[in-house]
Amino acid sequence: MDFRNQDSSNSNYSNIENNNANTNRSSGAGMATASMVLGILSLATLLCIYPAFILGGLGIALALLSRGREKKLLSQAKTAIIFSCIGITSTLVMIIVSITMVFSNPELFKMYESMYEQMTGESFEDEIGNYLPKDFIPPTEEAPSQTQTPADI
Amino acid sequence: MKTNNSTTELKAMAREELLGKYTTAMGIYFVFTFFLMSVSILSNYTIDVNTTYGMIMNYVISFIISLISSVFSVGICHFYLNIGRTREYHFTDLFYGFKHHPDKAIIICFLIYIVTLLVFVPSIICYILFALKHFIIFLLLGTLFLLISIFILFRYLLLFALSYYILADFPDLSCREILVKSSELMTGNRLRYIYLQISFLGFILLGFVSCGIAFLWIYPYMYTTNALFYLDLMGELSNSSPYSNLYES
Repeated sequence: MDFRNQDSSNSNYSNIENNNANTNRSSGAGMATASMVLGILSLATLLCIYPAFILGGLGIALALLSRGREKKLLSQAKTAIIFSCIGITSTLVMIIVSITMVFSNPELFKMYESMYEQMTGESFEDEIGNYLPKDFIPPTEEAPSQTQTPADI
Repeated sequence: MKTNNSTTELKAMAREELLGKYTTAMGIYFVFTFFLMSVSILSNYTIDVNTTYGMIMNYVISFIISLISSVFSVGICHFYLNIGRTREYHFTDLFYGFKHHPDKAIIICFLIYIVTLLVFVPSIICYILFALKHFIIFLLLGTLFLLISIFILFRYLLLFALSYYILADFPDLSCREILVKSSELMTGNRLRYIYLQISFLGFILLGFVSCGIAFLWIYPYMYTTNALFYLDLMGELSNSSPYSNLYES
């Protein structure tokens, strides 16, 4: 900005403008720092599943809003976005891997089913099985029949 | 006079204007949402929705809530216009609509609500007939009417998108004048407005990821950008905002 040919009122206005801009910059820096803290917390709570999602989403939103009119993000905001993205992506991968493992391994699925029954009092197949495709639930190993014919032996 | 700033410029200005002002903006959003949620939860708990009477009552209450929230919307628009114009802003701006012609906000909301309902009536009738008679022609007709209704909604109702901002700015205008002024401003700018709203999709997704907490920051950002869009159409942006000259170079 060229101030050389401006009159005094204009320079006063520029000073006010600069003061406002400085105040905004410090607010933006505070917000970027807060987003960085949220990003770090998102990484720290990676194993708790839900908090990582919430803190990560919040961290990215605050980081993006902290830049004001600037085109480039502050370094804290960049760190926040990286940490939050890692937090959210890792959590998503963990959820997908766990669901795939539970539904592909009959033993794990049996454990899950018994836990579900203990917690809700209803069997998983009765409650949710009807809404899922037939092949989705792995077949459980059937117990050997009580009455055996001599030919079976 | 510079008008028609790009969406990116408007959003950049909104972010800049909001820095350091989030506390009041979040407070306003929190109080408004708390009011809406508490009333709707209360009505859901007290009224049995399974009966016909309960269902009708529930619709009537939600209609009344939307009428009251339109008065709040005028206050919210006034608050964000103050922020956009870098004027003084207060938490009490939320109640501005109740002090300045609340009847006009209610009438405008009522008109928009009725028109929206009327536009969707043919498709609703077709879907009901399909549910009763099971003729596939009603389903196809219903879908066709639905598409036509959505087209009409975007074509005509978007013209009134700035009504509350105009009411907040010019409370002495009549309802008809407000709607006419809004349609004048929006003519030729509807696609820009739709693009502006679509550009917030990423932020809305982040809001849902954070279980709604991030909306405390995201909604003020969206409202401020919309207020700046209105100011841009009014040709005020280049005169009032100390940051706008940055985009002229």
